[in-house]
Amino acid sequence: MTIETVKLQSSGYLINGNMNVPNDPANRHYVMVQEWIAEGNTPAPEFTDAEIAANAQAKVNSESLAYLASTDWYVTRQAETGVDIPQDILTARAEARVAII
Amino acid sequence: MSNARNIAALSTVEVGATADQTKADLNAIGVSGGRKNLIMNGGFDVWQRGTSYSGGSGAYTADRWITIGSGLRDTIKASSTIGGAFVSTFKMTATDTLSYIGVQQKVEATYDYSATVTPTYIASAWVKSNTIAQLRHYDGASNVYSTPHSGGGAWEKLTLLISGRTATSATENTLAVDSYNTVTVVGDYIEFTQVQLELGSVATDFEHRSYGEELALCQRYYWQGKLSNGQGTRYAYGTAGAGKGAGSVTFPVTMRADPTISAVTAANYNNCSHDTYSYSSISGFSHGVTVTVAGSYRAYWGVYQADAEL
Repeated sequence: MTIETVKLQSSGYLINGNMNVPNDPANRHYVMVQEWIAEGNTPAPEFTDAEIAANAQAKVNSESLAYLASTDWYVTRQAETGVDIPQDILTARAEARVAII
Repeated sequence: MSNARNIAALSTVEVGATADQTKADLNAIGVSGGRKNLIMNGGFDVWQRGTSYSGGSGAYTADRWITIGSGLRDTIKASSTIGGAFVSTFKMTATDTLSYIGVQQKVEATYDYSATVTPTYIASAWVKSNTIAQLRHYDGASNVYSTPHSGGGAWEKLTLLISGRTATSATENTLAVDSYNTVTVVGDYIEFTQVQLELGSVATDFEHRSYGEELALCQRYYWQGKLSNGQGTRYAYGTAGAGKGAGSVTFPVTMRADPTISAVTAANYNNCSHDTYSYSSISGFSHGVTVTVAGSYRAYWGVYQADAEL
């Protein structure tokens, strides 16, 4: 096996994009990674800047969607009974919609 | 060794007989002790990765056997009749002009092997070839070879006495079947089976183990499995993002070391995508996913492999 890429992971390394190697000196692939590093190579970070940004946005999307879902009953109540939606809720829902990409 | 002496050995205790003489006596009359073969899958019945392979060196084919030598070759699980018995065999055919072709198996040591004089072993195998083929033992520093196959294309039993060797590490007690030091050309082949490595200086009959036993022995070093809909699968509920658990796998056999995990066939994903395989241990691992849509998600029917080979 030829090592093309190595990426750090929380519990080891990701080799060639598909092999998860644990931090175990008895693992032959772990030994190969150490030899690869000793040759002067450097593993890539676990997450690229783009991946960090994407993960953060995914979290924002998820939290915003969850907030909208949890406050949908205000909208339903307004439609059925005419009771107004509190302004702070309306503001927060608008912010949540904008935050979702 | 006369038959009379063999038979006499059954009913009398020969005070002066060595362990090897007794072993030879018992072998000659068909009594063969079990748990003597240090080679796993020497009968080539277990092929978890598939029964054919085309490519170069450094690839595991039959369980526990890795290809060696440069260039390309085809390997297949074949079969033959030897001594009236129908047996599985390993056949390797050169598809390139190579320095040599072959396969090898590293025997795991269970004690501090380094710089200790190893016991006397004897290796044996049935070999068929149209080129030079031999048994070769490597201790991390040097090789010893058996008398090579004649190259005449018939089955021949090769033996190799391994004595006074000093292993340089716990992973360098290696037995190979190969054409080492011989350039092979397209069409050259080596076929072999019943590879055995045992203590002592007398080669006895091959130790047959059941498929289940052999598979379990091999699974200490490599496991591959397609999981059912319920195993290694989780219907879960979560927010979007990476690092969400999608199930865990428990190996059927405790592995030699924390294994490398990868997918042979990607799982099917609902509302998520693959993230990582983590917490790999000798007992199992976890499958992490990135949840793409908040709510229920699952990963199922993946085919995974765990590699803890030497």
